[in-house]
Amino acid sequence: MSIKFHDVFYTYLPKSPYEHTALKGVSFEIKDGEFVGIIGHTGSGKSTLVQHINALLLPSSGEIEVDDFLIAPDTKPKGVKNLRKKAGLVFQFPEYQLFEETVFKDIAFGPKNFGVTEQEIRPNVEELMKLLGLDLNYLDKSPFELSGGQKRRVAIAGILAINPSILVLDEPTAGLDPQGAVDTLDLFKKLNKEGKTIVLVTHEMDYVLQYCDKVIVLKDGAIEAFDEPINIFMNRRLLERVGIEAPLVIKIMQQLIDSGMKLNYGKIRDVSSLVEQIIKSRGDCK
Amino acid sequence: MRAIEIKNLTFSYDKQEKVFNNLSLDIEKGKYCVVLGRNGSGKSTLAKLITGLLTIQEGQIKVDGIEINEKNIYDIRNRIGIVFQNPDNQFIGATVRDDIAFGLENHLVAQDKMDQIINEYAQKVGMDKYLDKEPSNLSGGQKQRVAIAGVLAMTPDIVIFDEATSMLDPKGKKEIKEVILKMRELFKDMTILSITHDVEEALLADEVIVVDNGEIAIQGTPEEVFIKDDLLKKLSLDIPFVYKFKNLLGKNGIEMDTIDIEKMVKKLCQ
Repeated sequence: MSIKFHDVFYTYLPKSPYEHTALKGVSFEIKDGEFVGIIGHTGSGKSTLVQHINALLLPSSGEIEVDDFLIAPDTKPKGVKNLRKKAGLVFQFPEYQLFEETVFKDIAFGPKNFGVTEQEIRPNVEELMKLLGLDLNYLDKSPFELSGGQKRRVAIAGILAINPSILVLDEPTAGLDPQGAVDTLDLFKKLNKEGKTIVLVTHEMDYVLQYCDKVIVLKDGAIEAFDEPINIFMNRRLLERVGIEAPLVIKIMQQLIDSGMKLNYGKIRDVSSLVEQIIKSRGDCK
Repeated sequence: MRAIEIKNLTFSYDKQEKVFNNLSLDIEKGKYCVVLGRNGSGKSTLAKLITGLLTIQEGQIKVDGIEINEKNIYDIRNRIGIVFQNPDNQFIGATVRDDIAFGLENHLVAQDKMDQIINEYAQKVGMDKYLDKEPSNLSGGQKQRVAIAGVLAMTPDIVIFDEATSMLDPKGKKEIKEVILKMRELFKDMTILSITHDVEEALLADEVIVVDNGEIAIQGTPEEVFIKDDLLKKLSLDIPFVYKFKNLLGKNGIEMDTIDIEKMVKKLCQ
């Protein structure tokens, strides 16, 4: 399922003293099966943008196409329920969206709403819990008794339970421990390889470099760049303009290149690929 | 002198599963310690026990040499300040000034003195130009800095940061780390305990404490701790990027005796 934005504007509280235009003419296309990151400062419009993908927000002007669905100003699109089944959104603080009495009920809420019976859901819920590293003993516990990291896993499981073709993830790893974060991202990558389109809003540039095919850079509600992560992070002027720091792996790589090492930088995504390339090019210094 | 002394601490929430079993830990006065551990390892529980938000079941905790008990818990709490994770949950005042004043008012500080203290501490965290601002006009990092000012205004001996940066963006994280470094300079005797998932912060600390499964798995300087990358990996923990780089180069036969990036680059290009 592809996502197309055509000149989208969005204004919060129009014609009031608090009027604020959060998106200013945003156009781009995410193709079916891509893993796309969205980066930018707090307040650059990232969360506003992604909430348009499943019509939680409707554009003030412009249009969005998500597969066959057309999202336009003023009226909710036809079949918005089906759209939300296809495009699942995990909020920035998913633990805020937990509300059921038990972990099972919380994860099962979405599918139940879409007409699946509890018995049919059960094996699926258990499988998802295993995938996310949640102990099955939690099934009948209240989600509010769980730790922050575990709550987050339950919230993510709840969205995966409706099996959407597009997964929109707004800071899904904040508050997870590093291993939990990597496991969760590996899971998204696996789902991506199985055909799901992934949109990832994040402040973690290391993850963008490691996981994303492409990245959208937002500044003050407009798109500054849309390119492969390596090209974005190698562009020092762009980073300075938008106030984003490149991952340390890129900074070290740039210093090595500046000092005369001929590195094949297109292949570098993390510390192991960096060291691998260094071993290969070490004799090549000026 | 020790700021915190924990001896044979055992604790469980529901009798079935022990969070801590016979845990002992000493933290020297004036040290900046970073506590690492995966979700559910007992990090936050430890902070709640030290501050008396949870009751000790077995064993003892001494703060500044005084054992915590039911009678003195309020005195001890006055010696300890906590900065929590969620900036929105701990902003109580209508403005920055009111928020910093909250603790002082509770301690019946006189009005004229209070203004002076508020100004002083707002300045220390770089929020003195925002005193009349409302929380809705502040970023997450700014709100956390206000929380820190409120804590510092109470002149605590120990300040605990309980994942205080985990909900912040990179800019906010950086702001808080800078404030912590400034606190180190201004208050040499203050003990800082920072519970975090941010391993890069651990690079700045005097001491790193790794908690796993309710036990102290490793305690030492960042250098002593991060050389053990295999053990840390087993505990599901990350290590700072420079150590990953240094350790991996070492495994490939390139030994580095520094974690300074410039020096490493120089050596690699020799």
